[in-house]
Amino acid sequence: MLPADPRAVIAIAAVLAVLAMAVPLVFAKLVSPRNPGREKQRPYECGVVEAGDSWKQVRIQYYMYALVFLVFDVEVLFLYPWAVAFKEAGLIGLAEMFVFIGLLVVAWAYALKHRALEWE
Amino acid sequence: MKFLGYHVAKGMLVTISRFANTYVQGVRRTLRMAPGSGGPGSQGIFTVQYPEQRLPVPERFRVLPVLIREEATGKIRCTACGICTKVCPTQCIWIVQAKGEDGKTKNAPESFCIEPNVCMNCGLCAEYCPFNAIKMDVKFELAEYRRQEVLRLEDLLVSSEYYDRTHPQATAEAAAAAAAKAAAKAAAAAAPTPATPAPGGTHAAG
Amino acid sequence: MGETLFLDLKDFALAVAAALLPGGLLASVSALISAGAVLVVAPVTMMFLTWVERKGVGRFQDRYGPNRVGPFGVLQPIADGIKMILKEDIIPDGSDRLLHNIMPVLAAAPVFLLFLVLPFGRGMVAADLNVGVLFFLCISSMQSPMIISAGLGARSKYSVLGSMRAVVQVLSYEIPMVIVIVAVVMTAGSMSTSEIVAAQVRDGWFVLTPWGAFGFIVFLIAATAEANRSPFDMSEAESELVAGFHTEYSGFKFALFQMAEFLSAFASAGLAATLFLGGWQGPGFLPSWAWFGAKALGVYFVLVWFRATLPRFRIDQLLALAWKFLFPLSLLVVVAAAAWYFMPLLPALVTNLVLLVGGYGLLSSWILSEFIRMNAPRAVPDAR
Repeated sequence: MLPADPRAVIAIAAVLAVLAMAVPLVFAKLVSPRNPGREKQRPYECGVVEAGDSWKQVRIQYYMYALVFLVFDVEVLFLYPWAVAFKEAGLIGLAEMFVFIGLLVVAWAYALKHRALEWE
Repeated sequence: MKFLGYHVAKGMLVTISRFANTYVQGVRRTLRMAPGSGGPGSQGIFTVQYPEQRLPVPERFRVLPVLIREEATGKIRCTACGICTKVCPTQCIWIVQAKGEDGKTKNAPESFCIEPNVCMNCGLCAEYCPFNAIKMDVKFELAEYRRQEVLRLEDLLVSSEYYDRTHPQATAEAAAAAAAKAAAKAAAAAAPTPATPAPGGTHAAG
Repeated sequence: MGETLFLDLKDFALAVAAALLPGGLLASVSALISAGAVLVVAPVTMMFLTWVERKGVGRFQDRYGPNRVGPFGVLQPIADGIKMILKEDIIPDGSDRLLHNIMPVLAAAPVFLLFLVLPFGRGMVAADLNVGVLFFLCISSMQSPMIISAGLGARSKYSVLGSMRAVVQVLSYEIPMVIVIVAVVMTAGSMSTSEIVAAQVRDGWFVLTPWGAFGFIVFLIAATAEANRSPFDMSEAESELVAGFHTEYSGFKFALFQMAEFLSAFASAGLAATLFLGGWQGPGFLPSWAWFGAKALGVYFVLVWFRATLPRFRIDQLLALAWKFLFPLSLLVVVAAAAWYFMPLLPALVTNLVLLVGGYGLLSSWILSEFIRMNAPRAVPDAR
């Protein structure tokens, strides 16, 4: 059997997937009814007249979590190369990585202490 | 318990036992409904899966009135006497009497209308009809895609054969009563001294 | 029987293509067949999953579920699909029309790519990347930008709140999930999904080791949250946010979001089966792809079971669970996996149990006290 290049498969699948989703959507646009109305086109707020614009400030807490996530995700990503070479790296590599994980835990404790992980 | 997940695990066990129990119940119900076990109703409280399984409709179930047409002659029994319109509590029956070419009224309805949204299915019209012309139907699946304003003569007419089929008991009783009446009449005709009608007999009936 | 059924089909199609086309195109045709097969299987799977989900939840709640269309309601998803296509597509005034139109497509399309790296059977992985697991994680986190664009593009308060919550939740649960997978990659020595399955064929299923069992639980919880499924369906909590980020999407756009959700849940179930339950490996009386399907469906059934059992988390509890419980526990799983590799069996077992059970006990008593502290009365926060 001919092994297909995985990158080619992924590229083809990406194009096909977008097409496979977009074509029925266009088809649905063609066959579905279209009866716009003033009340129908309003944003849904359980039947009540909408109060103000929706694009406004949200809690700062969302951004706090995003920042903490960014720090940890980048750090955790460094674990992957080590994980692949885990058996070759041996005990020395393990010890080094424990130091790294220790740093991760310190960062986590810092975030915890400064109440970055509280929803309040 | 002071560790996370204990009550979660407990709850999950409860739901999975419910899940498994539905299969046990399903097998049991299948056995109970199986042919030869007496069918629904023979073993206590049960649930009927309505569109697939149906309970027999009792003969005296009454929904909307229908007008009977004789199967043999094709004649409509109704004579447009108007008694049903007078007894109808919700006054949902309208009758227009037919007229011949000579302008004289005939004993037949020209139009006969029942408003099904107003009818309360009391069955008084059928009780009072002296000609057995209006009867209560047992058909209860009345859902329609459009609201019916009024049922007209052509919507209401059913053949007497249909009525006899859906109401076997009433038909048998009526036949027995007619036979008894005929027998009494024959007996009276055969009697040596023909009896005159008792004075005041009609009053007694009223 | 049928062990190589799909591979034989592909070989047959390739042989036909080789007879018809010049040789240079053959590699592209091979790729096209692999990609196309996955793209055909995925929507059918999605239809089957909606049916399984509704029937399963119905059973859990002592009712029938769909049973009108076809025998046991199996044709219900097709009826639903036709209905979705025929429904009016409402774009609210003030919403971003471009985002509103393209975001459903872009949310649903990446989910198909998740299936490319899953080994459906022996030798049946469409794209055998050497970084398969990483690819899976990248593609599955591509949902967050799509969700937040879809929510903001609809310009409804429910959508905005729902998408913000969805993103913060996906981000939070990404971390424990990624760390737990590190333990698997360590032990298997590769990021390729087929290599990971091969390692489990060699050493036994990872879920049978102590670190694997805990890792599997953490992974399952994180995957449930990543797929926005109950009890972590904060982003589409129908009792608070109507439908969350897809409140303003009707008709086929709604169907696309549903498809993305179901398929990513199933892809996560498939990844759980691959990483912890030995993938396609199983006794020989069933073909390997049937084993994979059975395991993935089994994990998916557990997700349905979760949904039928557990009430929804509050957002502060949800984030506390991710950051204060699953994150340290997943680090412990990595340490335990390292100990499992370097120590002989008995000390490894003792170390693992002490680390994991002890850590679990300590962390759970801490998180429970945190939950109690969070429930204490305090000033009402504003609703933003």
